[in-house]
Parts: sequence; C-alpha cells; structure tokens
Amino acid sequence: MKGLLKKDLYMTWAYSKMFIVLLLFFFVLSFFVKDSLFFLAYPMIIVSMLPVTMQSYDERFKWNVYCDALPLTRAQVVSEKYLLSLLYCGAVLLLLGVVRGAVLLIQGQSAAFFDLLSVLILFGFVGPALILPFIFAWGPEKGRLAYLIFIGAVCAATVLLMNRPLAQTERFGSRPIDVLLALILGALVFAASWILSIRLYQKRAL
Amino acid sequence: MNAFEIKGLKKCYPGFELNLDLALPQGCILGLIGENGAGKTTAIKLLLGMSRPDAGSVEVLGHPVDDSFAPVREEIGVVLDEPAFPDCLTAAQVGGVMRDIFRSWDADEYARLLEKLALPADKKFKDYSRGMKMKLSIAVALSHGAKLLILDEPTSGLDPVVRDEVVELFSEFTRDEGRSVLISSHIVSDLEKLCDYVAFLHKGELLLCREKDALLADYGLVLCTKEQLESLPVTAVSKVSESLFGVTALIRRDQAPEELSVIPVGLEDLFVTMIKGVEK
Repeated sequence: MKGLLKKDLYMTWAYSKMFIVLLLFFFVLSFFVKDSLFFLAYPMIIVSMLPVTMQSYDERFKWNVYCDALPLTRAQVVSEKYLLSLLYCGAVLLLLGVVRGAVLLIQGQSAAFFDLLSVLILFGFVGPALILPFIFAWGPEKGRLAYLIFIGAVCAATVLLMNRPLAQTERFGSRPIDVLLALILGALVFAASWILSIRLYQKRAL
Repeated sequence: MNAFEIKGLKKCYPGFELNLDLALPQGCILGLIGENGAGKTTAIKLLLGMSRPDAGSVEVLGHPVDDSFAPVREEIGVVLDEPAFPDCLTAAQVGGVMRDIFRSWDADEYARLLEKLALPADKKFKDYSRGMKMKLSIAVALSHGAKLLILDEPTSGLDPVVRDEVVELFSEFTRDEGRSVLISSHIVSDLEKLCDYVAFLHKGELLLCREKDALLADYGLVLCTKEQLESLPVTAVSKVSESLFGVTALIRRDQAPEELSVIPVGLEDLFVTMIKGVEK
C-alpha cells in the first residue's frame, strides 16, 4: 500500500498543484473576510475530492487494471484511497483548523472556532465517504453522476420530510460537544463507506 | 511441476465463450497464438485472478487462483497489452513505487535493464514512445525475481529491432531452469524464435497445444493441383486452402506417401492454414 500512496502523492504533485495554491489563497483570504467559514470550508471540499480525482486518473491510465496483476488485493487498493483522503483532510484540518482556529481563539471567538472545526471535520469525512463507493462501484463517470443523483435525492427528501427550512439546522456546530459529535458521526460514515467500497470494488469486473 | 495448470475452465461473456485445458511445464516457454478476440487476454486474466471463471480450476505456481491469490503475484512478472503507468511518472519514480509494492524488488536489476533498454530514468512516461512504454513494462516485470512471466502481446506495436531486443530478454530470463514464460501474440515469428510449446486458440477453443519442434516436424505443406490433392490419402491431409495458383494442403508427414515433396511449414502458415483451411 505504501507504493500506491507514493504513486498518488507523485500524481497529486503533478496534476493538482493548483489545488494547493487555491487552498493557500483561501486560507490567506479568510483573515481579511468577516464571515470566513465559507473560505475555510471550501478548500476542505476541494481537498476531500482529491482521492476521487486520483481514482479517475487511475482508471484513465488503466492503472486500476494493472493493480489487479500486482501483489495487491482490491481491499488494499480501496483502503489506500481512504487513507489518502485522511492524509489530505488531516493536513488541511491541521492548517486551517489549528492555525486559523488559534487566531479565532485568541480573538475570543470560541463559537466560530468550534463552528470551523465541526464543518471541516464533517466535510473532510463525509464528502469522500459519500462519493467513493459510487466511484468504486461504477467508475468515475457513472459514479459521479450516481453521486449527484443521490445527493439531489437526499436534499429533496430532507426538505420534504423535515418540512422546515434547512437554515434552522445551522445552529449545530458552535459548541465543543458538536465537534465531538461531528467527529464521531464523520468517522462512522467514513468507516461504513470504506467497508462498502471494498465490497463493491471486489465485485466489479474491470 | 507445472508453472500453471488450467483444468476444465469455462468463461462466458455475451457472444463469447472460452473453454480451456492448458498446462505449462516449469522452465518452458509457451506461446499462445490466436487471432484478435480468440480469448488470449481472457485466458491471461483468468490465470492472474483478474477475472473469475464460471467453471473449472486454475492453479499457478502450485497455488489455486482464488481470493487469497494476490501474494502469489509477487512471483509473477506481468506485461499487459497496454502499458498502464500514470503519464506523469518517470521511470525512476515507477521504480520507487514498485520497490514498495514488491517485497523482492531488485533496484540494481531495474537500473541495469533501464540502461540496457536505453530508457531514460528521468523522462516522463507520457514522453516515451510506444516501444519505450512497452520496454518499461518489461523492465518492471523482470525486476522482482519472478518465477513466471505472463506476457500479453508484449511485442505488438514494436519495430523489428526492439522486438528482437525484447525476445532476447525473454530468452535470457529462461536460462534459469526454474523460470517459465507464457507469451501471447499474433506476431507468430516472435513466438517461433522463442517458444518450446505452442497453443493455438481460435474462437475460445484450444485447437492444439504441442511442443513446437515436434509440431513443425509432424506437419508440412504440399502445393499441388486439385487433381493431385485427390490422389493423396485422406488421413494425410489435415487442412486445405485454395488460391489462384492451386491448392495448399497441410499434410501429416507420417501419413504422407514417401515420394511426395513436402515443404517444411512455419508456425504462421500452420496456424493460418488450420484456421482458414477446410477439411478435405
């Protein structure tokens, strides 16, 4: 698996340098904007999609087929993408959450700090956890489409079932307990997604 | 011991069915010959556990090809019909990645092969020619102490000089008696130079699998007229093809009349006549 990680790090550096520039740009920008949550959450969304991008490249180069001929199991191939996700999101969480969070704490904005952490954790865990099973089951193109349909259906169902505006849920995130809840919820969704992706990818004919 | 053994294997796709019984004795080179779509790649995927058979069993290097097969691939060097490295990686980076995938990766051997095959280590894969890409795949397959090489069309798209270099590398590989090679190709001349055994695959069925020299010694070609063909014993004539210049008959030498002038047959003619020829 170390070899796969190394390959993806080379590929990220070659194909996704712009993401890193973008991330730093949003990070710096967040210091100058009053409501900076969007500017801090957006880089996390971008970074959490990097493993999906890497999987798309793998399929384009037929590396995924070649992996089947190497001493690797499909479970290892899937697990590496989830590990990559944790690495990237962990790095962003460290940069944005800790560095930017420390500034917020110094400024006495503890609620904003917890907000930031909750949002970063949820986006970091839940974003890739939702899309990766689709990608491993059907490939990047069909997987992305299935993911969009799924997200659309979930949003529609939420609005219909809750019968109230989504804005009311925005109170979540500003207390320390919310950070813990986000962490537990994110980790559970992430782990379930990881197991599901392994099962789906093992069944897929390449 | 056999390097691999395929028994009663069956794999069905819409419009295609592969039925195969095949074995490769250890230390030998087996050439799998077949036209496009004959089932060569399907057979190779089943051997590597990349695909599951509908029936039958496959054993490679003494291990059944099942869910626990992945570690056995440590001992198998593979070249697929299309080199599949990421475009942005250099040969040096490919080596670095493979070092962490294969426990027995031999970095010195890889460096030696890159030099021998004139592959620049710092050039990106996307900037390699088709021949260089294939040579890089071959260098990887030969750099982790494999006992079995499985090569799917490794010489296709290569110029004659590169093909000759590559064929020489495979010959070199089997100088160690414990090593075996399965090579599929429709460039029959390469296989003729290299193989101990040949297997003909046609529309998913195995036409024959024989020792190459014995096969070439057993068969011959006779160029004659239709009238002359009629005078030949039915048991001696395997297949017949007609052209503007007369009839070409594939003859079993042991059953042909002694006075008959029989031309030695090459693998390519043998294969083509077997596929395209008709029974007498």
